[in-house]
Amino acid sequence: MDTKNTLIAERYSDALVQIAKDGRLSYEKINADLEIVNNILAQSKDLMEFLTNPTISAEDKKGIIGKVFSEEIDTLIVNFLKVLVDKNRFSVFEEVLKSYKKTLDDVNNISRVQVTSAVEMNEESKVKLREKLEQKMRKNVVLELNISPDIIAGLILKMGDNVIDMSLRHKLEDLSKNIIR
Amino acid sequence: MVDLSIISRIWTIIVESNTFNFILFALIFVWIFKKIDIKNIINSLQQKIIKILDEAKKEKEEAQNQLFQAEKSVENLPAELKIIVNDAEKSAEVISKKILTEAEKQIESIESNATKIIDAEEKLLVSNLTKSTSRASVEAAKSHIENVLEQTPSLHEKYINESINELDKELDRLNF
Repeated sequence: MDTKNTLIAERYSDALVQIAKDGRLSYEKINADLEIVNNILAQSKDLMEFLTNPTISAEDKKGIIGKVFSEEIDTLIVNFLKVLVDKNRFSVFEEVLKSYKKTLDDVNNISRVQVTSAVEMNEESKVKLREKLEQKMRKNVVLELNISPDIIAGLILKMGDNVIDMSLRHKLEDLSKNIIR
Repeated sequence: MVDLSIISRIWTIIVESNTFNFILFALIFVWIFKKIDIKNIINSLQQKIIKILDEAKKEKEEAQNQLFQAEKSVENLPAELKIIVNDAEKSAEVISKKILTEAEKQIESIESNATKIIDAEEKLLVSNLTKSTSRASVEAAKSHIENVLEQTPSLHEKYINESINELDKELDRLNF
């Protein structure tokens, strides 16, 4: 997704945040509804293609949105999706969801940290890691855990644009570079 | 009639007489001298001889003069030759020194270049060797660690805890 689309998505995301701020829907409800939409679109590529096809009229698209989502999500969110169709911006839905999640995290003082390990971490290690991160960052930390045997051992943490690589693979690469120098 | 025998005898006496022969010979000489002008010839020969002698004398003087000139001209020859030889020796010395210096410079330059090339090649070789060795060592270490981790899975927990422990330092580095 390019910067232009990201900026557009942020604008639509701000509209959703405003709904939450106005108290018409909670942040969590909006998030939950957006997740439902995202899951349905992920399961049906045909539906996504239909909603982003420029040769299909907006009325037809809005009709389908009403039929598919009205019983699943709040009317405000259904209307939000229809606005995306009217503005021919349905293709940025995924970016809108990301942007909203980021805003929601900021509101809840949450920081998401992607953690990669070679094997599954035990609960004790997860708690220890989260507590340490929360203490340092002074935020509620949500760990997004991935497993990649390629890193050999240790952990790789990704927080926003920052990456902390404490894996054995990285240490071996450093060792190799130092020997060559 | 004249007796022929008497005449013949008289003739014989005359012919055989030395005086008569001498007189006859003298008369022939006088006649020849008169006829040839021997005096003039002698004078002429004398003049020629004198002239030849004069010319010979002149030639001798000229030869002596030339000899003198030649002697004079070669008088300083040894000194000149010595100077020429000295100059030539000096020139040769200067040229040889120059050639030697340039040759030495060229040798130094060649040696320097050769040394540089050898150094560069050596460094490249060492670098390549180090790279290969380090890669091989790291690969061997990686393989060994993977085997150990496979045999002892609990080590993963140890490395994860080590990562968590060094997190403080890393977060400080990133100004968290």
